[in-house]
Amino acid sequence: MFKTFWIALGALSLSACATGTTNLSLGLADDAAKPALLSEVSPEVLVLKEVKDSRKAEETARIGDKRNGYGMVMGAIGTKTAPTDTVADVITKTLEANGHTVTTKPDGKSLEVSAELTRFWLDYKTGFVTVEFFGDVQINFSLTDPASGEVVFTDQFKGYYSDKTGGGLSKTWTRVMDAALADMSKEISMSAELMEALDEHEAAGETAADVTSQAAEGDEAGA
Amino acid sequence: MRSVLFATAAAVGALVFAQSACADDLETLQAIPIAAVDLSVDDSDSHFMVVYERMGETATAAVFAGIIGAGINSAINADQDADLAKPYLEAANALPLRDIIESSIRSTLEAKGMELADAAEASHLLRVEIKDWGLLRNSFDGTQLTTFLKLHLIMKDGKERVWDVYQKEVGKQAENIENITPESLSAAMEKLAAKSGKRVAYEIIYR
Repeated sequence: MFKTFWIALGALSLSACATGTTNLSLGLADDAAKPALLSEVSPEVLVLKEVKDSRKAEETARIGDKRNGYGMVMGAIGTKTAPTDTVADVITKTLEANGHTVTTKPDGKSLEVSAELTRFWLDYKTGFVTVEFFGDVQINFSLTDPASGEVVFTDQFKGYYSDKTGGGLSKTWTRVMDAALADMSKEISMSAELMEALDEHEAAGETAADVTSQAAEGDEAGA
Repeated sequence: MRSVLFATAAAVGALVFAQSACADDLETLQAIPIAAVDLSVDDSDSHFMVVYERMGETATAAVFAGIIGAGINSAINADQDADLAKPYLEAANALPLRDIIESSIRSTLEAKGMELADAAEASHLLRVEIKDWGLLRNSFDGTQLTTFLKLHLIMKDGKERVWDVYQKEVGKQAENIENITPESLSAAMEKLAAKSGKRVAYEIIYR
């Protein structure tokens, strides 16, 4: 009887919950992206060209480890959607919440957004009576002017969140990573440098339009 | 003795849980009208630290030597981290973190037209408490450290708290400790403190 109990207990402890891969559904809640500095420039059409996966090779197959009390890796934490798609969604929602239009179709004049995902990682630190979870998302974000091919803006944005709790499983992991994504959305929304780059592109467009219309007026007057 | 330790641990756990449950309601500053802010930045509870060995803490000691063993192991890890922090202490103590944060919040709020006033005339009181800061190992398996800064933000409308949140920021660069000099730590912390201050101000402006 006891033998059966211990075998069942052993099997249970080795079940998918502890040893397999737990895939999380991650993403930015619709109301998490809010207007900030980027909403202060005229609305732009932005082309989301690509979000490239540039994470370290050892961090691409999963976003975190399930470790036992001794620190041994027992299983993996993964995602249901590719992290690059999740980040693309965060960028899109953030820019749209700030009044800009995001498309995937290049038109030859709208600024093109590219991002490189360099980190997408969940970790935790075991304390005396608590566990502190860390969510860390990092991207290299750039804006390119397709007309000149010039990179007009580049910066690293980070999404970070940590929470100390009595413990936690997939619900906690999801909450921590979603909060890190929301933090990255805020970083993008609150970037003064990105706002300036958008503003300068808008101003350059207006100047070019003025020059064109003045030239056209000159042509008409000449005729 | 053991039961007292377990009871203490349970009480601390319950307290942590209760605090996190309470704080959730005020974590986001709502779109309330704010006419003028009285800002104070307090560094009396601020601690510079290196979190390296503690990042890799496990329950191994607790399993082999019980809760007292875990406590001893934790203390050993904390001592090792304190040793790692020693070369940076002079630079850390000289860093005007409080001034950088305060000036960053003030200048950002003023640039965006938010009025700053004395407590008697302000509609809201914003208290920024600088908590732990320093260098944090960026993963359980990793060896690189990045700067971190934890602020406790409390905004009051009269006596009522309208915002109560811990803002945690980490730096953009991560390095192995042998590549981090006191000078590079100071430079990175100055940047992080200024950025954190801006972030506090923007959270208020774009609430």
